Amino acid sequence: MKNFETCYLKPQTEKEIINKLKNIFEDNAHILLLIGEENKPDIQKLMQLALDSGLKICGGIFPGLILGDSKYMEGIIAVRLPKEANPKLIQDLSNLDASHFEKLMKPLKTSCASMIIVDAFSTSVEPFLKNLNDTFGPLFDFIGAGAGHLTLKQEPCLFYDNQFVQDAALLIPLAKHHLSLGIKHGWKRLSGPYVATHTEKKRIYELNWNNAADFYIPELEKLENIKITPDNFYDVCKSYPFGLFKDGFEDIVRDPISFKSGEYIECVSEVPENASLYLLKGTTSSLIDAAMKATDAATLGVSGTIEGLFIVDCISRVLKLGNEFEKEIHQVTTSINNNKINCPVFGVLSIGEIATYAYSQTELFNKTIVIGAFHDEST
Amino acid sequence: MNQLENNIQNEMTMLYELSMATGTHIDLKENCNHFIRILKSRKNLTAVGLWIYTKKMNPDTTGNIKLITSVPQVLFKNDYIKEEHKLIEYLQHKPYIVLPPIPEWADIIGASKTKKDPGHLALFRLSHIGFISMFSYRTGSPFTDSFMKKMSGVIRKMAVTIEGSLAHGKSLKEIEQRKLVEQKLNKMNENLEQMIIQRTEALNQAQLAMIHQEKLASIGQLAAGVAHELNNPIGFISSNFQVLQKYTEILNNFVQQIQDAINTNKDPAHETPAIKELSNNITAIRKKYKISFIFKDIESIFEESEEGFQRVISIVNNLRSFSRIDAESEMEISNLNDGITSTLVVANNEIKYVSEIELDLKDIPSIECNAGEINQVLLNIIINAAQVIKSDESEQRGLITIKTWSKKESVFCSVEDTGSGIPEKNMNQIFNPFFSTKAPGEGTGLGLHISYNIIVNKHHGTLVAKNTGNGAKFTLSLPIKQKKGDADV
Repeated sequence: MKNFETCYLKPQTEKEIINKLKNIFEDNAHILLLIGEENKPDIQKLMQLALDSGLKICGGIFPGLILGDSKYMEGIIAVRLPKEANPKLIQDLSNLDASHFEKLMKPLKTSCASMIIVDAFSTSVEPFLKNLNDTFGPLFDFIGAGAGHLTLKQEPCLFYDNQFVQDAALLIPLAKHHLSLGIKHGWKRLSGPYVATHTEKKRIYELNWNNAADFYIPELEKLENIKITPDNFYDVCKSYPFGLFKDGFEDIVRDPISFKSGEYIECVSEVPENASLYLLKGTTSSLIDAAMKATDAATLGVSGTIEGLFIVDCISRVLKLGNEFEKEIHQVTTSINNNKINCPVFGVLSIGEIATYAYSQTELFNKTIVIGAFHDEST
Repeated sequence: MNQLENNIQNEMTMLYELSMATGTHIDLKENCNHFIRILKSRKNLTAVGLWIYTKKMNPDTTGNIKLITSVPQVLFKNDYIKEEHKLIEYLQHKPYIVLPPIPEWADIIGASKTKKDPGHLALFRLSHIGFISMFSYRTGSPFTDSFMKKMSGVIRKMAVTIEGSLAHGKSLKEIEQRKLVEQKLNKMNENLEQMIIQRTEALNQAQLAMIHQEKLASIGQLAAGVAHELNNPIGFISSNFQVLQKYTEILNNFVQQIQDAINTNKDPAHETPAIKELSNNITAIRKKYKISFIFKDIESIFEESEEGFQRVISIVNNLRSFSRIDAESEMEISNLNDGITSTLVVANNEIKYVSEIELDLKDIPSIECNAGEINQVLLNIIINAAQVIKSDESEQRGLITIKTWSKKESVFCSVEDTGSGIPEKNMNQIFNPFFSTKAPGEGTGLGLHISYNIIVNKHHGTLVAKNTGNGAKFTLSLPIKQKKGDADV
């Protein structure tokens, strides 16, 4: 069987899923299961059946899935991982100190590519990425996704080795593969800069020395000409995220998801204190155009054969683009075809995207599309 | 906004953020780490390191520059570089330098480890404290002259905050050192107090042991003194007694002859009235004072007194023998049986009301020993036996059996009593100093300890105790000859 060979399984009983996996994936390689949160199977049961059948499965639960140019909110995408895949489930991220992390990562200290799936609702994703950066620097290329449910509540969402957990990360190093990455979002600056004069992790308390919520919400009300309430906040602000300046590259998007009047705005990821933020606005065409650019960045210039394309597309882009989202993935597959690439294309609609940025560091992005092209060492 | 304006705005916001990232912590490492993380992230660099001259942290260590903090650590080959490093020389007279990271500079940034060459390397001089090294893989150099110039001001500010952190670190170190010295001093004081307590206790124990030994020795001296003082009066009493015996015999003969003369002249033909009257008077007086009985009794009085004298002489001799008053040196040749005999005389008063003595003294060879000390041991053990029997408060008299025998190169002596025995729980402690089961004030707990020292440590013998079922039994052994050189022990 080929590396990254994929199949889509509609919702069905756990036994049927395992039987189909056994029939499709005949060798002993690990199988990555990307599971849509709607009508998801009983994971514990699935793991037990897999164990009984001698199947090595790992994976996560996501708001949605991508296979080729189709989007699914339910079902499973099964991916046959390369033989050298050596998954590692890192649990209890909130209590993981640097020395323990170093010990966990010691066996992995050789240059290679790696997939990574994290619990998007763990409060310790960024400290975990900081540890990854300190340990590996640019020696590893990571592509990853935030797993979880659209209820925005923290629940078990990662599984491997008969364990179904939350507050964890699933690392899948592929020692014999290289990774070429494309990271784009297409959001453009609308106004700013606004200095985030007081922040604490994901919460912005002050913008330009004023209360953040009191500063941001009137801006939104002016732009959309409607009254913002906690109930309609996300519907409006999903079109106006913040941009964090990064020298030489697109601004990093920080996605506001809630606010407390007179106190703070809460984002999906951390905002550094004293960083300058811009108010961003995206259009359907700029976002879709970004998807094409990300595809080109990942696939053009790769000298050898690409064995698999992993797409991590933010669920908030789906929410923003609505019915036009199909165009975005269609654009991705068109670019792939234009670039004459013939390989499995699979992906997830994620809550936060992870990628190693321009040989610099591994970052957590919001509202971004990340495309990773896996190619083997010989290429 | 055109591209130029956009660039200026981006630079200004970045410089503002970096400026705000200086001096955020008083701790050196935290301060530096926070700053280089923001610099790396915002400037999108591959690696950043902050280096400080070791002499700035510790005046005793010169010649090196230390990597204080770096992100990521993995790209930095060394923690230290030499002050004479070529790049540092270049940097001496410039605020910054920008250059390609050729392998020659690999000790500052491990470029060889990285996947894309050549990348870009830049160093900022941190006043006279150290420098910041920055490395990037980006296609275009991020270290434009414009950026480096603008950044110099922020770096100067950062250098000032690092000086503050260094001063703070120095103060902390001094406080820490002072605390350590105080702790050391306190510990020494505690140790000293503990030592004084221990020494005082040891001194008290030694003093008590000495007092006890002195007591035992003074028994010997007392015995010697008494023997010496009694010797002279016994001498002249004995001499006078012999003269008195002789005179009494003469007087008895004289009286007998007078009586014979009277009896011879009792012939009425020759008896004059005066003689008759005298004869009658003498007979009357003789009857009245029972002269015949007196002379007969004097004989038995002399016999009894003679026996008494012999006993006194024997006691005095035994006292002399016990105290070894005549010994010429500490180690002498002495017989254990003699020691037992004389010790029993000294201890007699302690024994005679509570116990019988049974002796089974075999013919044993004399041994080389300090007889005075061996007698002290015997006295201790025998008196202990008598006291144990006495403490039983039994109406029956006890029995102390003393045996001696010899085997190979040693002589043995056992003292067995019919007392209550030694409780098993105390068996391992009876030779320890100050161990006593007697009521407070009645025993020092040193007797057996000193005995053990005399027999085992001084004479290389053995002293063991055990219960027999009817009481306790102490057995000692002593070598017939001490090893050469042991006599001085």
